[in-house]
Amino acid sequence: MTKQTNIKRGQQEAETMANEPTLAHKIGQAKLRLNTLLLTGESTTAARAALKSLTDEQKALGAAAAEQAANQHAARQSLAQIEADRIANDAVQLAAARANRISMISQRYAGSI
Amino acid sequence: MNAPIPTPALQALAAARSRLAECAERSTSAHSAQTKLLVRKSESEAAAALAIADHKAGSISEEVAALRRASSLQDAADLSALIQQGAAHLSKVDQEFAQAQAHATGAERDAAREEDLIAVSVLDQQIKTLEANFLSAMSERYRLHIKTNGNRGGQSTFNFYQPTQAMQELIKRNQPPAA
Repeated sequence: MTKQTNIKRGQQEAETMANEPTLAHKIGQAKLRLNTLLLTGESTTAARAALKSLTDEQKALGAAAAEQAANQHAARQSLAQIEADRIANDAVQLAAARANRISMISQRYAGSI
Repeated sequence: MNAPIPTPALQALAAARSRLAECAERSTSAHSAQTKLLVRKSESEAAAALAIADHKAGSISEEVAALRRASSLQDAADLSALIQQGAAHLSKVDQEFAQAQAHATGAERDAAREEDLIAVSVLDQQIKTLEANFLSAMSERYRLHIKTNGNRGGQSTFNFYQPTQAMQELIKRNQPPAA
């Protein structure tokens, strides 16, 4: 995956997370459903289903957090790499300018023989 | 033509310049943010004073004036706290900027010295080449002198070449020519 893609993906993910209900919120809702079922004495099947839903949401939250952390890490690495590349390129430019100045000195006093 | 390979001094210079630019940007941004907070605090204090003035002028009741003043002073107090926090941050940013400046100055100096040493090496080699060429030309000129004049007029190079005063000063007294 390219650096730019990593950064773009990180930004898109952040926007998506900002606009959508969070998994934590979904977990809250699942817990609420489970508590309601337990309190109202509904069938164990429904309670079991609600518990499974809660577990699934929690797993998804863990996976999403891990993915987000990985993306952030990749984005940070990409930015660091871009910065390192830019500095390396600047150094090459400096070396080229210096080589040009040295060459001018050399040419100024060069004999024609 | 291959791109020249930067020396460690040039790599350090590029990194130092980049760091300096980054610190300068951060410093400008931090100072701007702090200035905005100071302006907002002044505005809040002015609003507090205006509430009293309005009440004295009879345009608002004492209760409204008190409420407006208390609210404005609370804003000013909150802003003061932010300004105090900002001052510590500003000090850190300024310190980093000063360090980056000092580092960049050192890197510029190191790179310039390295370049001077390279130029010295190039010129030393060039002077040797020029001297060899000069002596070679003198030798050929002398050969032609003998060929064209025989032994008439002596066999000294003085007949066809008299070094300038500057050249004589250089050779006899090691005095550099005027730039």
